[in-house]
Amino acid sequence: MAMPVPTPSQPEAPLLRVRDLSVCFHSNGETVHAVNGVSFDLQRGSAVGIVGESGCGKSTVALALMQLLTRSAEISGGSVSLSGRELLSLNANEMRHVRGRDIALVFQDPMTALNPVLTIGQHLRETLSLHEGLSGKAAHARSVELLKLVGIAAPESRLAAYPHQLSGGMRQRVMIALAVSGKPKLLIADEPTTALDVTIQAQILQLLSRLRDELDMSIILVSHDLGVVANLADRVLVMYGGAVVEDGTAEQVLLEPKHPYTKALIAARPEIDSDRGTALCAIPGAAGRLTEQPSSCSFEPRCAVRMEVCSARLPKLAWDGAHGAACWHVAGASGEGQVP
Amino acid sequence: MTRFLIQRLILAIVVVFAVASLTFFALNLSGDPISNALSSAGASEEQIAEVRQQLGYDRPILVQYADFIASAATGDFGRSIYYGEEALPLVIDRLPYTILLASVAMLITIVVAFPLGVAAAMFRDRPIDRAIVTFAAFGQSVPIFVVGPILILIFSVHLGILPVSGAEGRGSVILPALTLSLYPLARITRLLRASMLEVANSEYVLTARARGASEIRVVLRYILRNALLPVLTVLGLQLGNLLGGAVIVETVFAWPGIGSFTRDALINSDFPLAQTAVILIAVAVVVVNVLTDLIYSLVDPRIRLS
Repeated sequence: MAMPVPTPSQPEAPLLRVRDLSVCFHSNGETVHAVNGVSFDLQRGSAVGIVGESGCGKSTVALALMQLLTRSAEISGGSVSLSGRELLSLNANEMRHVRGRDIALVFQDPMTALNPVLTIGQHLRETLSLHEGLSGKAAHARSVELLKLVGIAAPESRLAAYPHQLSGGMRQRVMIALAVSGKPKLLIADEPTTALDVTIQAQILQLLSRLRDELDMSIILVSHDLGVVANLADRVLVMYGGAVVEDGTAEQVLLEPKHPYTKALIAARPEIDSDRGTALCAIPGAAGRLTEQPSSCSFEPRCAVRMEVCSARLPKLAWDGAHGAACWHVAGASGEGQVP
Repeated sequence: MTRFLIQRLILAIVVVFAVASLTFFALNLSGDPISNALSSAGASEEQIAEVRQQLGYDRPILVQYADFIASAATGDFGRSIYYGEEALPLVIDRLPYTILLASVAMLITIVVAFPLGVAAAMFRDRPIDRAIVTFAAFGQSVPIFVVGPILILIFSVHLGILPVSGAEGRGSVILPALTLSLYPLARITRLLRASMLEVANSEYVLTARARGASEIRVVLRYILRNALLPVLTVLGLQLGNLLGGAVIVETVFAWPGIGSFTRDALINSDFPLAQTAVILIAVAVVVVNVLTDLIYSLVDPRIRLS
C-alpha cells in the first residue's frame, strides 16, 4: 500500500506509526474482516480524526491499538509502533504497562465507564498508584489537581462522590482526568461526545484541545460526526468497509473531498439554514458484511459514480501530496494509484 | 435509615401475622387435634369430648383464631398438647441447633461457591469451567435424601471420621451442613458465574483495563464487587430457606433442630407447637431479609434505604 512520503514540514519520526493493521472477528465458524490494511502516521502533539459510519471499523482500530479487542477478535496482521517500539509483539504484561501510561482511552458513554461502587477519588488514586506510584496525601493532592485540570469545580468535594451522583458531562471530565493521569503520549477518544448534549459536547472538545496543547499529547479522535472531527483534528481518515478510503489534512478532506463516500457523507450533513421540509440527503443502501477480504471497491454498490473497474479491482490510496483517496476516479487521474 | 427500619418493622408484623393466620387455618383444615391424637390411642368419645372442652377446642373456629392471635400478640403461644408444656420455650430450645446448622451450611456455601463461581467465570468455556458447571448442575438436581445417606456411607460408615447422626460428638454438624449446603452452593456458584460474565462485558471493566489495571485487580475490584450485588439477594433468600427448610436434612441426620421438631409436632397433631415453630421461623426469615437489605445498601452506593 502506498504511503505518503514525509513532507519537509514533518521531519521527525511520528509518535505512532500504523501499517497495514488488519483485524478479523471469528464467530460461528464465520470470519468477518473488520479492519483491512489500515495505515497512518500520527505526529507528536497532533490530532487525527477517524470518521465513518457504524460498523466501518473505526472503533475496532481504536481498540486494536490498545489490544483490548474481545476474545473473538484477532489482529491478523500489520504493525503498530509507538515511539519506534513495536506494540504488537509485546506480551500481555508489557502491553498492560503501555495502557494508561503511554496510550490512554476515553469512551463514548461516561454513564457506564466508571465503576458504580467506587468513588471518583478511589478511581483516581487507583490509576495514580498504578502509573505514578503515588499514595496518601500526594495522591490526594494530585487527584484534586487533575480534577481542576479538567475543569471540575469544587474538586475536593467531588472526590467522595460516586459516579451516579455526577452529571454526564462531569463524568466524561472525570474519565478524561483518569485518562491523562498517567501522562500518556497518546489519547484515543472513541466518540467522546456522542452521549452528551450539544453544549457539553463543545466544552469537552475544548477541554481535549486544551489538554493536547498543555500536556503535549497526541489525540486519535474516533467519531461518526464530521463536525466534531473538524473541531479538533489536524488530519482526517475516512473509513469505509474496514479500510481507509480517504486520508488528508482536515481542510483537504472536509473542504475538497475526493472520494465519493466522503463527498456523500458531507452532503448528508443537515444544514441549519436549509429549508424546513427539505429531505435530508442520505446515502442509499447499507454497508455490506465483510465476510471476505474485499477484492473490489467496497463502496461500489452504493456509489453514484461507479464505473466498470470499481467492481473488478480494489482501488488503493492514490496520493496527491499528503491527500490520498482509494477510488478509481482518483487513481485513474494519477495512473495506478501508486503515485505519491 | 430510621424510616426504613420503621417501615420494615411494620411490614414484618404484617408478614408474621399473615403467616400465623395461614398456619392456623391450614392446621385446622387437617381436623381436630384432640380427636386425631386420642382416637388412635383408643380413647372413648366422652374422654375426647372432655379433653376438647378442657383445651378449648370445642369453641367455634373463629373464636379459637381470635384467641390464638390475641395470645400470640402478648407472647403467649399456648401449651404443647403432646408435651403439656409451654410451646415457646420448647421451640426456643431447638433454635440454637437450627442456627448452628444454617450458619455452618452458609459458611460452606460462601467459602466454596465464591472461588468456584469466580474460577468458572475467569476460565469460561475451558475444562475447569465445564467441570464446575457440571458439578453445580449435579448439586442443584440431586435430592437431599440421596446426598445425605451417601455422605453418611462415605464419611461415617467407611471412613469412620464423622458421627452418623445426632448432635452429640465433635463434628456432628459437618455432614448435615454439607448436605444442606449443596443446593445453595450450586445455585450461588452458577449465579456468581453468570453475574460475573455479565459484568465483565461492562464498559467500566474495559476502561479499567485501558487504564492498565492488572487482571487480578480488574476481576476482584471491578467484576466481582459488582457481580456480588445480585448474589447477595439470593444469599439472603437462601439463608432464610436454610433456617426454615432443613426438615429433610434434620430428619436424615436426626438433628434436633426446628425443622425436625416441626415435623414431629405435625405428626403428633400438636397444633400449638407447630404454630409456634412456624411463627418463629417466619420471624427469623424476616430478620434475615432486613439484614440483607442493610448489607446491600452498604455494598451498593446507588441504593439508599428509605
